[in-house]
Amino acid sequence: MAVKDWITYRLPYVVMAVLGLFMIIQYYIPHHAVQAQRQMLLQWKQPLNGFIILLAVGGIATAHIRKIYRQEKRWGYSVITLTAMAAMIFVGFAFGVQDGSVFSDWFKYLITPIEATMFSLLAFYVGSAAFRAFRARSASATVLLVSAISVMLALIPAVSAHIPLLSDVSAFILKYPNTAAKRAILIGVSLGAISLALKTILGIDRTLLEREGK
Amino acid sequence: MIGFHGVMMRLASLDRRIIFAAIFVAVALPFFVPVRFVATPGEETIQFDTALQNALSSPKPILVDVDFGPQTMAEMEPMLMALLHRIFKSGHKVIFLSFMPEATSPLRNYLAEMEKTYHLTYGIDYVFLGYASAYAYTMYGLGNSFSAYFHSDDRGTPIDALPLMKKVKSLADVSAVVNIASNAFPRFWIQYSVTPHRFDFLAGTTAVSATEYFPYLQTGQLKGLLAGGRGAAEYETYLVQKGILETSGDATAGLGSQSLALFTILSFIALGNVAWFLGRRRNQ
Repeated sequence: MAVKDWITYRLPYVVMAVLGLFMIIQYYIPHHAVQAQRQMLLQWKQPLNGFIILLAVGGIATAHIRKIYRQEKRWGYSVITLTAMAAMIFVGFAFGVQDGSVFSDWFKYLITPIEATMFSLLAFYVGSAAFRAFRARSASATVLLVSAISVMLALIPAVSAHIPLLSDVSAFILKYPNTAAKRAILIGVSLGAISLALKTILGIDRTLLEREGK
Repeated sequence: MIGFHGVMMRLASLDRRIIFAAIFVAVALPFFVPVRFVATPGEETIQFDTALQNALSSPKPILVDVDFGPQTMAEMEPMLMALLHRIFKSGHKVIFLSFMPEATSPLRNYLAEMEKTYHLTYGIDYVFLGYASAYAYTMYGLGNSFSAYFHSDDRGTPIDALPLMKKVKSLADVSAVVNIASNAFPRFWIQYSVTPHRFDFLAGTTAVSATEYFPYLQTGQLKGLLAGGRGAAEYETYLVQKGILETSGDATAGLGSQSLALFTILSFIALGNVAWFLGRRRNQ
């Protein structure tokens, strides 16, 4: 294997294995010499995040420039995205991001209402989706439907105040079946995450950096 | 003339624009026609305040992490405001931080409002450490050191120069951590920080994500939970009953829109099921 290939496709796994194993082992060794190293590694993460953001900005810019260059479908939106991104970066660096700055004002009066509007639309789509999809098609779907209706009704103060039993039913659903299901999902996800982490640290899962077809 | 079945068939294929219009009316109507609802404080809300009261009894400051953006402001802002009134009215010291850049600007405004209302002195009664990236690492690392992650506060003052931070070296020096978040950050706090460093942790979340936290409430890793707009409204009622708030706030005002929207969605679910059931019988 050429040195360049080794550096590109093998060295990252060596780094991951060493650091990953260290982060597991340090949890069980409270000695200050080990903890000082851990603290240093944790502090590295903050400047690293800056580079990650830089990489992400570069990735977005490249993808949209390619789209414009090839005049792909809806490439006009890519122009808007790139212009908006460049403008925000420019005003941020040129005039600062403090309160009252252009950057802060654009954030407050453009991004804030846009984000709020996007999220508000959810209520409309939830209503429409519930009407079309929430049907008692089978026994399990009926249980889900009855549970959802009980919890939703209990959230309406005028209803829960007059039918206290509904609040008890809702509390029961949330505390027991819901908690049991959530706990099962949590344990499953955690076991999956541990297995994935171990596979990556030990170099068993090499899909992260392998070249296609290799 | 179309019969009952015909009407039901038409309803089954109702144009989505009619549903959108109905929900719009349900959400907007309470703004024009005052419909007053009061949310009775539930078990979780009372548990939240009891845990907070324990933290307020300690001389150590409370750490409040605010992580919500404009998307969930309607649901989360009243919750945060109720919490701020509760803490500042008791005269307790607070350290604020955020792991979400879009949360910092609104938080500065809320704190400025609190400063005026309760005559607070920045640096003594409260500090805002600002935004920190790498949330999971910072949550974990704060268990050992604040100064390693926050060299200066939101205003650029070195944190060693802030009187409130003189005695706060790590999470062991705060009485509790409260996270008001619209994302998964309370889960990260529990997994990365509460478990290894052992401290009292409370959270306020959106209604959608609240169900995720019930297992942590049962294990005691989460001492209290405020669940969404309804939880915030319950907390406002509770604080009014305790004499901490004079009147209930925006969460209680929003109950009208929330209740009518829920009622509309429930009506459409019922309608959809009746139409579907009749259609199926007819086909059989």
